[in-house]
Amino acid sequence: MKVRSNGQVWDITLAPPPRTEAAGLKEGVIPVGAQVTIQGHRNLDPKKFEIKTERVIWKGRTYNVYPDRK
Amino acid sequence: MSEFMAWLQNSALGHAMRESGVWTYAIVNLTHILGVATLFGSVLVLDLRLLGVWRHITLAAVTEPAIPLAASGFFIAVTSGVCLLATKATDYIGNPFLYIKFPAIGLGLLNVVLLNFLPAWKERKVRNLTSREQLQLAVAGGVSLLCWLTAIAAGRMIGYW
Repeated sequence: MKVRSNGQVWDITLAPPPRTEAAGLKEGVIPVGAQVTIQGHRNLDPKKFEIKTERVIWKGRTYNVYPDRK
Repeated sequence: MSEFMAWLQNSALGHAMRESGVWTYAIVNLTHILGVATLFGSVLVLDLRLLGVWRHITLAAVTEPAIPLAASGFFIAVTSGVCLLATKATDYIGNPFLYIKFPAIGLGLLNVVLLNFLPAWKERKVRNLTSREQLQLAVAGGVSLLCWLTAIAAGRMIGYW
C-alpha cells in the first residue's frame, strides 16, 4: 500500500497479512485514490518515506492492525 | 536480471503466491526451511564423514540415507524457493546476498557433479579406499560444506538487506 502526501509518495508498511486481514483491512476494501489517515511510526532514516503502520483510518472507519499498541 | 525478475513476478506463480490467501507465503516459507534443513542436515553428516569424522562407520553406510535425503531436501528447497522469489521478485534486484547465494548453490552442485566422476566415490561400495582417495573425498566434503554454509548464510541475510 502506498499513499501520496504533499506530493511525496509514502510506503505504508502494514502488519503481517493475517493480522492485517483480521483487522478488516482486505485487498480492495479501500479503493485506489481514497483519502486515508495513517497512524504509526516513520522510518528512522529521514530520507526514507516509509511508515510502519499501526492504524489506517478511512471514512471514519479505523483498521487497527496493532490494537495492543497505543 | 531485472527483466527475468519482472517476468517471474508477473507469472501465474507470482500471482498465485500473492493472491491465494494470507497464510500462503508463511506456509511456503516453512516448506523452504524444512527443505533446507533436510538438505543441510544430511550434507553435514556426509561431509563430516568425508572429512574423516566417524571413520568406524563405512562411507557406504553414511551415503545410503544421506544422498536421497539431501536430494529430496534440495528439490523441496528449490521449488519452494522459486515460489518465494516469485512473490515479489523485483524487490530482490540489487540485493548483494542474492549474488552470493546463487553462485554458492551453483558451486555446490558443480562439486556434486565432480564428486560423481571420482573413481574413489564410485568404488566406495566395493572396496576400501586408499589414503590418497580418502584425501580427494575429504576435499570434496570440505568444499561442499563451505558452499552450503555460504548459500544458507547469504540466503538468511537476503531479508535483512
